[in-house]
Amino acid sequence: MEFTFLSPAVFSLLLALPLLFLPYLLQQRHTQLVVSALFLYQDISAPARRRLWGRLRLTPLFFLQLLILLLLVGIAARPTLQQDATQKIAIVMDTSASMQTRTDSEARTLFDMAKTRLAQELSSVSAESLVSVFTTNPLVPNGLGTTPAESTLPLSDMPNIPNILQQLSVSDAPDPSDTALSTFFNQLLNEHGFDRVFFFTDRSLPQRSDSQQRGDFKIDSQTLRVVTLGTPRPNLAITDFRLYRSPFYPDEIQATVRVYAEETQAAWQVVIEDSLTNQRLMAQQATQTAQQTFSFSHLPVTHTYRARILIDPKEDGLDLDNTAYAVLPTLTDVQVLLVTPTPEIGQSLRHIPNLKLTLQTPQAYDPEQVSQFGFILFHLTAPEVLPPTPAAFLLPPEGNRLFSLGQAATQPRITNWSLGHPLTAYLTFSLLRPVYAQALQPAVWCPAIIHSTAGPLVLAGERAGYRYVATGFDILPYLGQKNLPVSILTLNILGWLANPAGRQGHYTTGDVVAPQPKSNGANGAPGSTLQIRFPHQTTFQLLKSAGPLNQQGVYTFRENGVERRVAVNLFSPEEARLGKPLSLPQEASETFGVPSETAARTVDQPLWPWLLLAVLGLCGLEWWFAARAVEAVPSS
Amino acid sequence: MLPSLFTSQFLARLETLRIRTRRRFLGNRPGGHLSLRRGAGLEFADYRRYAPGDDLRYIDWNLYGRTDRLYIKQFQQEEELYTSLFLDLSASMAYPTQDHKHEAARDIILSLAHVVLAGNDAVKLSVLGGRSTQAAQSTTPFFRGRQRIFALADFLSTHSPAGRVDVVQTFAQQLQTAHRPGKAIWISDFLFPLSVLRATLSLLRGMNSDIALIQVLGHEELDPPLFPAGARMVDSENGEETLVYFDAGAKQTYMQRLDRHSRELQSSCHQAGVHYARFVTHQDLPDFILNELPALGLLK
Repeated sequence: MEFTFLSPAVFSLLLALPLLFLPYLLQQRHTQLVVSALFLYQDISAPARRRLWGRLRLTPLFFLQLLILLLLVGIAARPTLQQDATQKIAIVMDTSASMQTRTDSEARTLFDMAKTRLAQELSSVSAESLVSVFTTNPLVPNGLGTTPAESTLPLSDMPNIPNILQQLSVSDAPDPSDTALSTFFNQLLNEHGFDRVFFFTDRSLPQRSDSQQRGDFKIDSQTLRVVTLGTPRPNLAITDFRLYRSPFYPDEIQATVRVYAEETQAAWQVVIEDSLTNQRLMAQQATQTAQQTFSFSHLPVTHTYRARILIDPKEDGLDLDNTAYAVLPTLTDVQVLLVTPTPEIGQSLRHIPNLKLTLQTPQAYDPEQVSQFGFILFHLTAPEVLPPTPAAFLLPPEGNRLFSLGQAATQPRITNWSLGHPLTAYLTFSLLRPVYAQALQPAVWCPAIIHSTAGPLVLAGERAGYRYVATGFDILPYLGQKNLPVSILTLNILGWLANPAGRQGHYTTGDVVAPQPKSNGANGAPGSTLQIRFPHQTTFQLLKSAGPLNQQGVYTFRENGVERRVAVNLFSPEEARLGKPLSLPQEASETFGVPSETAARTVDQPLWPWLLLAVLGLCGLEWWFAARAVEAVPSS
Repeated sequence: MLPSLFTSQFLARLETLRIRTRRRFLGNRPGGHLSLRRGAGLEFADYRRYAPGDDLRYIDWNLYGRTDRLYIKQFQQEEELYTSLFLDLSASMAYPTQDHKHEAARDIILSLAHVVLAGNDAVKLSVLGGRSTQAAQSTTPFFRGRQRIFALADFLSTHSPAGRVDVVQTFAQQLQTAHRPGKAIWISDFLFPLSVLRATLSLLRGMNSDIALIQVLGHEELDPPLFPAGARMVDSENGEETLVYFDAGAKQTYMQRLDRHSRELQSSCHQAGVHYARFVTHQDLPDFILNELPALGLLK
């Protein structure tokens, strides 16, 4: 409860208060009174009264009038009793992976720091407030929702907040999308009716005014109080870890590790381990570059792989993104449809293991039946539209509607290629000399992978979730070791198309997993369940719903008796970029970023009616005193 | 014209009263007061031996029977009383104005005059100071008879309080023309130094008068209002003024002074054998005259 004046400037009227003395000074012109005998009055009054200040006789009436004037000025200043109102307060805890970042000075994480800061911030909140705690990432297994709002804990009294905080833990998932975050904040205020929102995060509001500061700072607003924790610091992160095992040459297991090391100066190393036995399989020393891709070939076959960055923990902010998991892709036969006007040439592909070939002429091609094939090879032909399945277009004819052709050339030399692209793996381009080639015009969705003196010869890209490859020269027939460069390129193309996601059994933290209808029929049987075993070995039964993958590691899915493993990794460059933390979405900052001096919500109880009542009473008293004073003055 | 107080009832009640003296005075005419002379009267005074020529009716034959000597019974002669009324008309009698001290004093003195006149005594009225609307004398001759009360009222109506009075000097002048001792009644507020009073009483006693003082005070003089913010107090007679912050403390001092003055006045009167009565303007005037003055021995 706080007493304040809403219009304190009115107190400047007090400067005019000495005017009240004026009538009293005028009144000091003494009355002349004729008395019958003066000797009775001689030297009767005290000498002190004759002094200058003593002449100003301030009667009780004066002080009464002074009090009335002061009260009137006080009324004009609008005295108000501000009482803390019962507020609905939403505490939003950023439980994204970056909140596991260790602070510089101590081993505490940002999430621990957020809990401490929360206790400090709540000290300014009325004890009668109702508090609800939210997390930006659903918790496993407590939270079942997929959006932040669904992870709401019930409204609690202030004393229960420490207990609630004890239950909270940070997840391995990245931040929700900006749209989800903005929508979430809007829901808190507009739909759930929260009066204030405390947001503890490592993200900052976009810089807009001088009131915002970098580093550990706070932004006050009438509704939102963003408390940004932590300071920028270098961090290494594995942004991609994939195993490549083509079904067409399954003995070769390749691993690619992409590391983000933009601001790290310390020495570090990348190792590949067996995640079950912790046996180190391979290791590579790193160099001081921002983005590095490490390729490991001829990996031994094991169940799950783990890539790890070895670095002094003091030189790295977040441990979580130093580790990534991968599951060896399973080997299955690939149904391939070859559409070619020369089926006899296509027969050569039958020598490739694990490849079930179906030959069709262009006239027999039915786009409605392509879903049963893993991918389609269009040889010397092209459909009207892109098929709804991965496909390769081998030397598409002139006039096709999918790819524009360039100039034709004989035995063009390869001049450039995309390093690291699976299509260019193991290729010695100096040996790749097609007899005839037709340059292709790359598209935005389908960039050139291999360039030649005639122009782009190989295009590869994804569209509508499907991979497409176009070659400007004929890779058929498949000659195997007799034409190694083309054979390797052929296998690369087939392998890339056969592994459409490129990350078979691979998820990122925060992804949502649901029962797969395909595993139990075309539309999925009602009541189908999915049992998930988390990396920490707890299990979770999922029924006709979706569950989050908020913990990094290897999950085991058991669905209808079929068990499979998936690797879940934090592959979020935004989470790993601790040197330049991600700022909050602009929508959120525009909604809540209005700076305000006051943070607490109060209810104003005006006091002026009571003061006015007192003034009226005092006026009556003053009138009574004044009437008595007038009566006391004799007429003479 | 008599003041409104003097109704027929009031006058009738006044006529039942008589001036009372503690001494005997010689008069010229028979009256209602015992005189120093022996003569015809009702009250036995003494015996003396018979001498030829004495009225045989006054021989006390019983005493002759016991003593074989002739004695004549002598009686106190009853004569008229000369009463002098002195009214203070100094300016102080006009203040406080709302108390009408002057009017009260006038009514008192007219009442006493009527008592004297109704008792077949002679009364003379003198004003001390004051302002006259006509070239009137400050004193009247001795009047006799009830009807002369109107003359006295007219005399008083021509005088009003004003100015300063040198009491001793004025009395000295008044008494130079007075040859008859008798009752002297002085009505004033007596708000002047008591040394003046004592000097004046000496003069009156030198005239062999039976003196009575009636002090008339205003109610406001006994309970003056407060002027804590100060007031310029102006003396009604000499015009002197002084600034007085008349608060409660000052009022207490004033009351103490006034009380001491009154007590000293009473003491002086007591020592001089002078009747003293005090009338405050808020009192009932008929009651004061008809009851208080007889109780004090001024009237009977």
